[in-house]
Formats: sequence, structure tokens, C-alpha cells
Amino acid sequence: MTALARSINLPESLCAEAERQFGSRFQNIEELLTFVLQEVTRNDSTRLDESEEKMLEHRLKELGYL
Amino acid sequence: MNAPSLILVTVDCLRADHVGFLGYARPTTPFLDSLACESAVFSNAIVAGAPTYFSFPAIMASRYPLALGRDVVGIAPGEPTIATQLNAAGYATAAFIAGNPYLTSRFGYDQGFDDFRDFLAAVPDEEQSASPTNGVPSNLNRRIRSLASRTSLTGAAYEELYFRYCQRRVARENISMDSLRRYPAAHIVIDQALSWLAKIGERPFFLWIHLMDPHHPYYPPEEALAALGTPMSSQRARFLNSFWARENISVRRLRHYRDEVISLYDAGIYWVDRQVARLVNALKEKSRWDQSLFALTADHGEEFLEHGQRYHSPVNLHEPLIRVPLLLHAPELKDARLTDAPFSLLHLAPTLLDAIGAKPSARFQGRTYWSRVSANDLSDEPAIVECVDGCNNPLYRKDRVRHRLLAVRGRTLKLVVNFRDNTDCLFDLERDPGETSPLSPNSFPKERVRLLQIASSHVQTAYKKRDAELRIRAMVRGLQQAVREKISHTRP
Repeated sequence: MTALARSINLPESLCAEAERQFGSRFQNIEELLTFVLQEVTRNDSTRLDESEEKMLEHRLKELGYL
Repeated sequence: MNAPSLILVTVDCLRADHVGFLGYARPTTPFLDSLACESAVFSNAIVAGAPTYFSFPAIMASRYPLALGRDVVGIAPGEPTIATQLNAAGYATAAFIAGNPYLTSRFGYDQGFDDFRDFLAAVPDEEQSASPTNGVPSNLNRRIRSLASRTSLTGAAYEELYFRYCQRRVARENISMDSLRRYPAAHIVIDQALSWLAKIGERPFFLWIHLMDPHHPYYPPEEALAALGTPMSSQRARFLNSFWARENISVRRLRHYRDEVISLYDAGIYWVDRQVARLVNALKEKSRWDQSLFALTADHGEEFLEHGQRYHSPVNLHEPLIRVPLLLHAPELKDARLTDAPFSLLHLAPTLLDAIGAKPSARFQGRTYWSRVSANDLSDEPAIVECVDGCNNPLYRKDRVRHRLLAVRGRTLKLVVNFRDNTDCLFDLERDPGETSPLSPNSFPKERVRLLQIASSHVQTAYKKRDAELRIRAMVRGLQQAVREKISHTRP
């Protein structure tokens, strides 16, 4: 991996169970965890929340209430 | 004396204005009408989301559907629900879900149930009705279709001819209404619920029954059609369902069959009523009725071209979709009470739990209204409804991560905010119950601002106070399923 990386410690038994369950899809624990973290930190949903909040704020400002 | 039991019957697609106790002229619900005479009835019960996958998080877990993020579907693992609360309190719990794929263990709805039956094994894979869109065209047909679709005129001509061809072919088949139905009819679901009730002894119980009879395709039992004075052959029902399902067809042509389609839909409601009567009578025979709270409601309504749409797609939040019946029968409510104050189904779970003396979860977003229901004194608090605009298949992330549609529904005024085109429309439901003419921007300025402020506060809360733990659990469940499916697909 060429990007900056961080080392973390995880219980061996947990890693072994993850490898048992998902080993056929992911090469190793790093690949599995990278996939999971990428998925749970996707922020396209939150970006829509933020833009919708801004739209309502803008509308209330238009009406002179903010 | 045992703790009171709770029976929750939810009916898919049941709109409020098609039940007798809310004024429908056709006698679709004679039993529920009689029950309403000794129940609390809410004429403005409003779902928190539509359709099913946006409505049930509120009904079962008292949580707005997009509160964990619009990319999350269903109940999160470990999320408190009516069932988990009562199961922890020692109740026997069971759910009998008439084959709705969104109300399954995949989406967390089995949590808290000792016995959870989704009837999915009984659901046929594909609709057997004939139409150009769901038939299996031959290679020759595909080639003709491809050639015909080069212009809109020849494309339309092909679709019309192919539809008629399919209809002629299936008209020769004599398939019963029971064989055409895609979901187990209410009597099958109630039979299983009664068998379960017979096994649990004297324990207090929570029974959730979800019935699909009014859901399309509309194939009610012939007995129900006859009872409503609208007998119909299965061939005719098959033709109507196929025609009603056609794409790229004008509203004018659909309107020609609307009344007959509604007769089929209404017969489904009638069948639900008959079977609920059977359930209640069985509870009375077992001497369980007088110790039970009974609630009947729906996850959303159904459209019949009021605004040009059919079924219940989340592309609008019109009244036929968001206003549902709600009837609560409790031993202590001796007389009928009818309220027209808006009541969000977000508050249903805590209200039901409170009514039977159980503690609502602190994680619920709604709150109990039981004391107000008992006193027949509901306040005028607007109900919020939300969905993801155009999300017809929540299994696809790209369908879920789209703009929100939001409605703030007061007693007479309703604000609809469409975030796709950044518009807000205010309707006066008293003067314009069909929501055909949004009020001018200068009408009801104070009320418009008040409803906009409620919308703004709701959207802010939704993501700034999000329950991160439940969100991650739900996302990880989705990932587990996706990875397992990939693994199973890659296995030889």
C-alpha cells in the first residue's frame, strides 16, 4: 500500500473468525476492514441531509424568519 | 390477573377513505365499523413514511424512516421495537406477515419475536398475469419489439398488439383467483395466528399480523366480491390487473377501468374485515379479548389516478398515500371517540406500550399519547412524513441515496417540500381535499413559516442527532448480506 497507513491492534480470535467468514471474498483482514470502513464512511447520504437543511434555511431567510 | 395483551393488525395499502368507520359508502368493513363504536378512531392518522419500507420503522420502532440515514433500510440490529420491549417483559410474541419481502429478518423485523413467520415460501416468484411487460416474449417477439420501438407510434402499436395477443392467449386458461393471488389471503394468516394463540396458554402476548389482501395485483376471494355485490370472473380480474399494470399508457385509458379495479381492491379490504372478525371472535371465546388492546392501522394507502398515479410509489405524499385508518380498542375505552387531530404513527408504539402498562423505550422518537387518547383530548401537533423521492427499490443504494420528499401535515394545512426541485407547496385540505391547487405564496404566511420551521428542525435533528451505533449496526448488517451474497454467487 503506497498511501499513508496506520497500524491497529485487533484481537486474534476476532481476526480469525472474520477470515473464516469472509476469507473467500477478501484477501486479508486489511482488505476486509478497508472495504467496511469505506462503506460506513461514505457521506453521500449526509451531504444530501446538509443540502436539504440549507435549502430550508434559505427558504426561511427568504420569508424573513432567520 | 395477567398483564394486558396487545394485538396489532397492519393492512398493506389500506387508505383511510375506504373503510366504513371513516365514511366510505361501500360496506367494506362491517365488523370494524361495529368495533369502532367502542374504540378510539383517528380520522387523521398519518404514516411517518411511505411505502412499506419507509413506514414500518415508525410503526414498530417509533423512528422516522430516514433518521439513521437514507442509505439504511429497516430496523437496525438491537434497535428497540414494540416486540423487543414486550419480549423482554416476558410476553409471548409472534408475527404473521403475509409475504411482504420488506418485512423480513433481512430488514430486522424478526427482532423480539419468539415466532416470526413471513410466508415468503408461499409467495410465487412471478406474477402469472399476462401483459407485454411481464410476459416472456419469444426471440421473434423481441426482434419485432426492437424494430417497432424505433418510433413512438410503431412502439405503441406493438405494445397494444402484444398486450391483446397475451390477453387472448390467457383468456383460454381457467385459473382461479386463488391461484393468481401473489400473497397468502387473510384467512390463511389468521389460521396460523389462531394456532399459535392456542399454544401459548395464559401468558400475555404480543401478536402482530400484517395482511396484504388490498395489495396489487388485486385478486380477492370471489366470496368477497360477491358479498360487496361486484362479482367478477378470474379472467376479468386478470385482464384488469394486467391492464392496470401497463406502462406508457394514458391516464384517460386507465380511467376507463378504474371503478372495476377499485372493486377488486375493496373486496380485499372486505376480506380483511371478515378475517379480523374471526380473530376477535376467537379471542372472545378464549376469554382473552377483554384483557387485550387491539390496534388496526395501515402502512400507507393506495392511489387510483387521483393525481395520475397508480399503486403506492414514493413519488408524492398525497393524502391517498399518507392518511390511513387507525382504530384502538381497549377494555377501558367504554365508548366511541373520534378525533380529527393529526396523529403520526411515529407515536403509535409508545402509545400502545403505555396503554398496556409497559415502558416505551427511551430511544423511541415518538411519545405516548395514551392519556390524551383516554381523555379524548389530542393536541393539534402536525405529523411529519418523509420518503426518498422515487426510491422504488430500496435494495439498490442508488435508489436510496436520492432527494427527500417531506410533508408536514397539520389538521387542515399541509406543507410538501420537494428537495429535488427545491419547492414547497402549501395546501388547504379543507378547501382543496384533492390537493389540486397549492395556495399562493402569500396565503397563510405565518402557518407556512411554522410548518417550514418544523420541517427544518426535523431535517437538522435527523442527521445531527443521529444514533451512530444503530446506524453502524444497520450498515454492517447490509454489508454482511452483500458480502455473503457475493460469496455464495462465486461458489461453484
